Amino acid sequence: MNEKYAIISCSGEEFLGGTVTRAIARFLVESLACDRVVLTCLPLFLAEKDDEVEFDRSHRCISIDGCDKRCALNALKINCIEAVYSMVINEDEIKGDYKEFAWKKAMEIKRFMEVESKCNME
Amino acid sequence: MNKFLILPCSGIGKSLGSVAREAAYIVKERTDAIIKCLPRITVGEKEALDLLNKSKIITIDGCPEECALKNVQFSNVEVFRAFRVGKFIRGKKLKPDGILELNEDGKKLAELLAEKIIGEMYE
Repeated sequence: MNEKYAIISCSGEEFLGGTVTRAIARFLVESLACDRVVLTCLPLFLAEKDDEVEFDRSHRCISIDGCDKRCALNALKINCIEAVYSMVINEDEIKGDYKEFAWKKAMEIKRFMEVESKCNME
Repeated sequence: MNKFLILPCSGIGKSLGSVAREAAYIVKERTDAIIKCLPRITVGEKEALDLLNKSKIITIDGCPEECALKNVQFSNVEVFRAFRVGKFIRGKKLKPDGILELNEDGKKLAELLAEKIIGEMYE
């Protein structure tokens, strides 16, 4: 299993929650954990299925969903991939600037990765 | 008449994808078109697939992977119009940059693309 995490966010265009998940994924890859995460494009699961699915099978996956439909998590399940961490955004929690909210959620995921790495080392 | 359904790519990894997403939002604001999440189609959600079958579908992709177009085609549904930002930008002296926050050229490109899409919707 590759040491890096594969991040699969729904990035849904229809709801604010989807936009938040996209921001979380970008914050992780651009700032908070750029050397530890790789982004997976969810629609590519179907468009270029084999490459993208194989990639996620060889990485620990973190799903980030913008609503209860949990498309990102379900896309993994459909392909028999288990997420090591899954986050679902509740739009009611988003107060004020959505990017600030996304940053806090990205920090939660960063903390998870740190704790998991520590546990693995022990 | 069937409603227009706009499906942009998610725009998670490239500026051109962000332009596609931004253009979709502009079209939605200025017309009665609706946007649905592309991932709902990717995972085969029934409600989303039913909507595909009764809509005039416009896909907006950022790059040659054409995820939006391919996801619709996998569902065996006809596409009304398919746009690709990477193709649309040709000949325009614009250099879009940024993903979460598009630069001015990116916003300008999204505006131009949205105008073209709206023009073709009602021609």
